[in-house]
Amino acid sequence: MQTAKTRATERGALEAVDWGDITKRLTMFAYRKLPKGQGWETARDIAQEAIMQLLDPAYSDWNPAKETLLRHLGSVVNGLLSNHRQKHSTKREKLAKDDRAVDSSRHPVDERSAERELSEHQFGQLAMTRLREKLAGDDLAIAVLDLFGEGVELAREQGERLEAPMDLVYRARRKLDQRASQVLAELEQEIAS
Amino acid sequence: MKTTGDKRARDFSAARASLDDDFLSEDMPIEVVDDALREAGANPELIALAGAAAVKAALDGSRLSWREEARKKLARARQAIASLPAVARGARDELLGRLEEAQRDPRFSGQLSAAFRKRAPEEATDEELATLLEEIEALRTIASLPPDDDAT
Repeated sequence: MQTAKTRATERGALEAVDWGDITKRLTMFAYRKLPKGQGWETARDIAQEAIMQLLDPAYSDWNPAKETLLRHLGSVVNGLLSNHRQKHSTKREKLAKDDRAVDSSRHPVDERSAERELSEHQFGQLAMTRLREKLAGDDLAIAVLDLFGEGVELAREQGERLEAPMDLVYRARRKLDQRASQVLAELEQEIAS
Repeated sequence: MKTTGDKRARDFSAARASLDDDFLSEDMPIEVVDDALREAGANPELIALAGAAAVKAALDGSRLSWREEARKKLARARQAIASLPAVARGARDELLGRLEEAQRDPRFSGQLSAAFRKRAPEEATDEELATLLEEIEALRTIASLPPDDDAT
């Protein structure tokens, strides 16, 4: 049972957290995992909901000895995203069903149709070639990409292998991600046209 | 280092999927997070302000609810004590009998022994005995109050 003293200690610890920082990281984490077309506002709402659950003693099950606050909140966000997807797909399925009843010739838009024009293998090869071109000159980003090729995916492991500061590794991973998004968009546009 | 075509194909999707968790690492510079949010069309400063304000409001609200709970409990105790009948003065034997009964209650025996350390209860005036019994009755009433929300 929680005593007033442990509650006060926990409250003190929670008040010391930089919640602005945490909200931004969680919002971005949720945004990346949302289906295409879902705005950052939805991601922000999910992030805030996760934090509110943490603050509610009836829901909170964070064990600081087991995981960091951010990792715990990430798990909560994953759970909320799962509920959101379920709700969203149920609505979408219902709408699709209604649409079919009105116009049987209509089909849902396939956002990845361009990718399906090529085999997954061809698409991947082409994308990787383009990605390397875009990263040309950035040795760290290319080294990180090579580590992915070797199955070393965790940032910390990559940092250790490359003996590089973690902030630089994270910046390189972010750059790689941005360039990958550009390559995907360009390829899909080329194939579609 | 060179990678084969098959490997490259796998790398591309693996690289993208594994980057989600980067945002859950405190080692990721916050400027990188801010840039990513801007790319998504969001204002990182506003998200941070709204997030911090929501938590502050939640923590303050929770603190107030504890105060409110304590205030209600105090009001209930006061109300219960106010409704207690005054102990009748004058019936000395009855006052002493009730005091003796209270001395046998482990909740009050310690305090009553201390109160009568230097003199016997029989030496106390009717007024003193009645006041003491009223205080004991008030303590009994507070102890018997139902916990928190059960009371109306």
